[in-house]
Amino acid sequence: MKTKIITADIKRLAIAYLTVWLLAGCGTDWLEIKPKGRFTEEDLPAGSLEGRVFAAYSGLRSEATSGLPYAAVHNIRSDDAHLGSNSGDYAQAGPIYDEFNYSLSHWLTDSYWDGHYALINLTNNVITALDSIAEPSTGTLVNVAEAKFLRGWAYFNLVRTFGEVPIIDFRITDQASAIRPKSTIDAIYRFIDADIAEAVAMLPEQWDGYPGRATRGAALAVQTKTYMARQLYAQALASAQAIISSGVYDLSVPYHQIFREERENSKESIFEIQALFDGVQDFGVTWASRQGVRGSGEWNLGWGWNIPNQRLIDAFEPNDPRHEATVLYSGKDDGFGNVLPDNLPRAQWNKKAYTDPAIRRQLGNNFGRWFNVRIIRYADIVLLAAEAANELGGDANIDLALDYLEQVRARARGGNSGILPPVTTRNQAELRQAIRHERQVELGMENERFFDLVRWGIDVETMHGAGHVGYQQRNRYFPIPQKEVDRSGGVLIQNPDYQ
Amino acid sequence: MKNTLRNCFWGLCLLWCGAVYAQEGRVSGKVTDALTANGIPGVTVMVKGTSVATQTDAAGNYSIEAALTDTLVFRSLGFAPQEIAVDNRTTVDVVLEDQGTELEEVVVIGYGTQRQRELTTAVSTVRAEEIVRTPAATAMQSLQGRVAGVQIVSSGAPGASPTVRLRGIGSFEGGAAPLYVVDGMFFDNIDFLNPNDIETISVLKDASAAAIYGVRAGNGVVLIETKSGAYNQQGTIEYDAYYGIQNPQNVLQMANTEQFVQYVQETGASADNTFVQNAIARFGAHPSNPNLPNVNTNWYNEVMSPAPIQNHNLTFNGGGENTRYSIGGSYFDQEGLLNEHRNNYRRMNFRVKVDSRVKDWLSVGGNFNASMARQYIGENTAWFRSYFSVPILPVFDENNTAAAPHRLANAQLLGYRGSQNPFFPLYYVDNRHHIAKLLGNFHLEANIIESKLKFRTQYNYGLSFINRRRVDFEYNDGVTRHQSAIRRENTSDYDQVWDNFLTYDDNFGKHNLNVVLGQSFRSEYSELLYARGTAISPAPSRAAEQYWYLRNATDFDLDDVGDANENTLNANLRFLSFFGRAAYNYDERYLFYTTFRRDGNNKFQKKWGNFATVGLGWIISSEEFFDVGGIDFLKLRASWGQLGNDAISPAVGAPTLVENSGAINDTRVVGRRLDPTYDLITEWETTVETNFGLDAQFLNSRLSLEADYFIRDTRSLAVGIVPPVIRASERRSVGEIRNTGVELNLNWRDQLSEDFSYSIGGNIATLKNTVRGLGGAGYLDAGSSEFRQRSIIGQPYQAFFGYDVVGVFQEGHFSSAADIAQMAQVSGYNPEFIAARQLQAGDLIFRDVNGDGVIDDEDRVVLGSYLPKFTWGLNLGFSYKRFDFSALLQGQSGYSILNRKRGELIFTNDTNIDADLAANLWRGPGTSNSYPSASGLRRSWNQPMSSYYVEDGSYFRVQNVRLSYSFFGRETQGGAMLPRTRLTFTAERPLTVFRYNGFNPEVPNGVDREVYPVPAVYTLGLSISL
Repeated sequence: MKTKIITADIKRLAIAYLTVWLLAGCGTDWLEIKPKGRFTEEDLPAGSLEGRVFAAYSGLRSEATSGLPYAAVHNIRSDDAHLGSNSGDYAQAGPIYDEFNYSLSHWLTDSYWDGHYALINLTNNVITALDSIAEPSTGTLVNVAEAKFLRGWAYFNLVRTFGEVPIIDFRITDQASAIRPKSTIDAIYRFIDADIAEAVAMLPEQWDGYPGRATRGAALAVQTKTYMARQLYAQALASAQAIISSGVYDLSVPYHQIFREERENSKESIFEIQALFDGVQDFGVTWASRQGVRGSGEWNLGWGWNIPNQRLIDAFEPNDPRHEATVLYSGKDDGFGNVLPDNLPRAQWNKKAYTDPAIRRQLGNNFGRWFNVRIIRYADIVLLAAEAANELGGDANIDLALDYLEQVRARARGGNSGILPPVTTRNQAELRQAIRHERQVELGMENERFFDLVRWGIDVETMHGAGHVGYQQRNRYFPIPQKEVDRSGGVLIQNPDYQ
Repeated sequence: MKNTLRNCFWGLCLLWCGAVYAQEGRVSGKVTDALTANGIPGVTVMVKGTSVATQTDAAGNYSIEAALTDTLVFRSLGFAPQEIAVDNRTTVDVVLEDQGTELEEVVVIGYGTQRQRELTTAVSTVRAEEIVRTPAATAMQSLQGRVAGVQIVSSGAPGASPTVRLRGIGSFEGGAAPLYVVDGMFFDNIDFLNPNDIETISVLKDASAAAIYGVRAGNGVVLIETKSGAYNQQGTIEYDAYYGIQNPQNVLQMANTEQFVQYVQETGASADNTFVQNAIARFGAHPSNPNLPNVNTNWYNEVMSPAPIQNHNLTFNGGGENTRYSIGGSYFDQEGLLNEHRNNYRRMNFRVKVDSRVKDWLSVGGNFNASMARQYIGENTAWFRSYFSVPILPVFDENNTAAAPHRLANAQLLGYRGSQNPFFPLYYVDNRHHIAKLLGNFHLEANIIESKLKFRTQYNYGLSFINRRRVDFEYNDGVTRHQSAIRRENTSDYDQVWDNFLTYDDNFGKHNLNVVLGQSFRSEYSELLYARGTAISPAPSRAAEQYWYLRNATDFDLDDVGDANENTLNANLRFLSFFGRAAYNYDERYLFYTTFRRDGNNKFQKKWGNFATVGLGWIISSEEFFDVGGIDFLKLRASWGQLGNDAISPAVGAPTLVENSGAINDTRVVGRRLDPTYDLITEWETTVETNFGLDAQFLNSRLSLEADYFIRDTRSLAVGIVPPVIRASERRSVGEIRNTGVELNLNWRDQLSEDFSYSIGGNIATLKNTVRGLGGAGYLDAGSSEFRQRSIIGQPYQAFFGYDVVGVFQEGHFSSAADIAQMAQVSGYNPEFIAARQLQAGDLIFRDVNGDGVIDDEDRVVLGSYLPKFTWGLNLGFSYKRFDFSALLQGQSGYSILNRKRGELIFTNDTNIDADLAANLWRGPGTSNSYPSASGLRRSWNQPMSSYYVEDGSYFRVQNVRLSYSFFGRETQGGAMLPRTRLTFTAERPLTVFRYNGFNPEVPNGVDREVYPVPAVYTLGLSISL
């Protein structure tokens, strides 16, 4: 009897208890713990775009824009270099970059596309943020100009590499908005022109305390290059001369020191990708290690891609000191008093990506993450000025062209009057050849050669002459990465040459 | 070694004692049906706590060897099991009640139990006596080959858990591991549990069975009940132990020096030939062949040797009228196979489980299981290096004087690019984990209406602390000095589950009803702290462990320090659930079953999800019209159910701001970017499964059959979608995968005489896995670009993807136009293509799938899947007098393994090759139609992902062979008693037959690069019970 009473009490108690819980459970804020540790847009400091601009500069350090894809697209494709590395890598990339059997999907080209659009996206985050700032300060407007410079540079690379691509000039907020059709090459250049013009107008000639940020000179240099790519010689000459007359840059750095670490951000440098690695902080790039000597132990400096070939070596005039500054030979001295082993898998390497052995030893690191990537240097612009002047023709311009060409050769001579005699021809065609030759050797392994050949319209004959018989005119442009086409649901149309 | 001897000594003592004093006794009797008073055939009679068992004959009679103090357990389908003490009798007759009482042959199904015969779902149960047959750290290993539809991939590393998959893979993310519910607490694995402590493992295979666990059940549920005492049971003491040897088996044969040098010569590579000459110069020439170095290292033999394994287990069970208990402790010790390296696993477990009927309406109980383990992780790179290292390199090189502290040979001194020698990581790395796990459980159960309505609340916690320390010693390999380094990483997990539920049981005439209603809270909270330092001073060595602390590191990198607590996304997860179940049957003929669960969480944008299930069953054999001779029981069942899967990473659901800093002119500048890609989980990953089943018993229940067919669709799977233009992938709920299969289980058992009974059983399961949706994308890539795996619509998950090798060019060279024409005819390639790719005899011929005369991306096809199409097991057992024998055979077939060990030759030429490849390379017309020539191996044409790297993984294995002999304690004339003793010999995996070129055809995710070999294990076991 007693049991029953207790049981009845318990029954009521338990049911009451449970009911309370079940009901309380429905309205509980038990689940209202928000996952923390991630910041959203509200956490950004208001007003200043500086942090976002630095993020955009960091975008330049991506593998795509400063590592192997950049080297592969800009230089390995040229007649002066071949792929290197080992046979496994060659199995994948060799048919594309050396044999010109372009694949619709390969990580190097896919990454080149992705990395440049990621950079564009970072710049759009700066540029579109301006709309929300009521009275932007000059500093903010300069930040926007920096972003436009970077966006212009990214599009210039894309239009040269893929031809027609979509223009994204807004902040992507969802997938659907990112699906855009291609723009014509003309439209893309107009877009670049507008960005770069604003950068030229707003950017400072120099940055106090920040050498290495985008300057007016850098913007003018990109402008020069985009004009040259379109054979707009008068505009190109004007832009180039604006750089030359600015007095910020000169050819005072001895040629063999241009690519040394201590000459980073020197007077030769118009724009370079900034890298920092000191053993503790790592904001480095892979540029040097991707091309580093593929040896073992202390000579394991990297993957050994992008190898200068005999054609480039043969192009140097007798005793041109630039030969030694451009090509590093297995079994020979590296210029720092160290001899490379002679049983390395390649006979020569790109010396313009060779790091200072003292710094390697000091940091206990062989992979050169500290090594800045020289994107545009002054001699490139001087030679473009020479080329533009020669193409424009007329005595005054020929004088100008001869003068610019001689400036570059004089520096290369390094005071040795017995070599590299001055070019004196006033014949436009001969001078054109001389300037083209000068670009090949002055800028050897510097990512200009392939696009120069395309610009000059001699890419097919030159590549065939160099034994790359698979090269056709369509190989100027890569197919758009097929995965992008697939993702777009029919909006993005593949380059017709590869359909 | 000392321990071994001691164990053997005790074993021998007992053997001797047993032989002198043990007097076996035979207990016999008759088992009758309470209703009909007829004898019941086929009743399993077991001596409690042992594997000694027999069955009743057709008249219900049995006879079994047992001691006077033993308790016999009687079990038969359809009857309530009974336990009866022998109590000095020689005849024990038993009357079994038809089911319907509390003591039933029941199956644990989550928040309750159900009678086996009333199940409408697919549940497989494995009991203690089967679990302990396998000498392994974790109980799941023992399921291999025993349960249809459960794929177990063994791991040989000490203390490592096997990979477990229930009915295939149904998620693109994370492991496909099932949920383990140990006495009510949720775990991701059960590596901390002592297999001896487990009473039953119930595998809830279909969605209908698992749905009561709602969103945690997406990959299936494994329910584990630990051992309990029994009420009114005399106290027992049981000691179980085994000691054994793990022996490396099927050791992969590599090319020896002679084969290797031949291969090098055939490649024609001058550099490699120079290295051989360097080896001759450095180590001397072979006395009988001056072209060979006097070195012939078999690296696999050098790095490993047989290793011991042992386990000791002590359990105390008992119970009074109102309290029962089970208390135990165990020690497990497994050494690894690797030499010169700390590589082992030691674990101690302690447990207490107590239940008490405090009042006649209230019972309470508690359960505490503590596990402390120390694990030294073997450096897996040693396995890869052993494949990779050339045989012309010795282990030690006394002339490598710069090397310190050990003069290990360095391949760089021969000219190779890397140091190779696997002893570098073995000597100079020490990687320790201290693992402490605590499982606590407290429950209270109140009867509200006697035997009808009860309320139960149970609170469980699982605490897990893992303290990791990895030390890299300072050493010089002769070329490079390697700095010392230390990394510490501590993780703490605090998980809680609190369940409250009502259970209602009633019957109205022939209507039987069981209803459960409940609610559950769950929280998971974790913290992580890690730091890494380099250049430890004084330099650490294996002998000087006192220096292995972060404070002795002289160089810290802030990037290597981390402190993650509740402020990270993963670390504070909360769940709230409501659930209900109704099981109804009419006259035990028509069965109906339904569950519902509503789950809420803070992990995804989709906060709440509902999961329902329905099951129907029809016991045809209970129908009056059913009268088929030989069929004792026949049930048809069908079920449908939904499950969720929350075992995927949480999603933020909004763009986030991330640091994206850089440097300008070598000065750090802090950048921040808004990440436009973010995960958005708008739907729960949901499994929808339909299962059809049949259970039957034939020929006086001697033959039993279970069959299941399932279609398991998982939908709204989180898939990383890469939007156009933006680089990063973002997860969206768009994927779909289907798994279908058939599972069959057939068992036969019979007793031929008083002394001899036997059983034979088999199971087989099929699996077909198909990707059905990827949110509009045609495929999703996995693996690396060199060794591509791809999930393609209509094909298996992460299938191997590349070119299909159809043969090898036997003749021809691209330099000759005539040859090209002939090669074009053989291959179907364009002559220009053959010339451009410089093809020649000894090169592989890839299938030109689209027939356009060139081989390009478009010619790639699916080359195989790592998910087996068939898994099967076959078990045999017999007992004759005091001998008991069992054997389990199992196998898997219809799957592929990517032999990446072999494939990594594409990254460097500096590697040895396996003996099979060395022996069977193409060496001229007619020699090989599957392997390229030696020089071909190094040509890029032959190196892209192709069927050359993808091998058949099918195997057959003798999984477990066990022979035991029992002694029986008897009262001696002086009144002394000897305990029951059993000696057991077990051979685990003594034989595996396969064709794959590796140690073992079991590779967790199908890619074999540095997988720890799975050894054969031979153990001698001793168990004593008092």
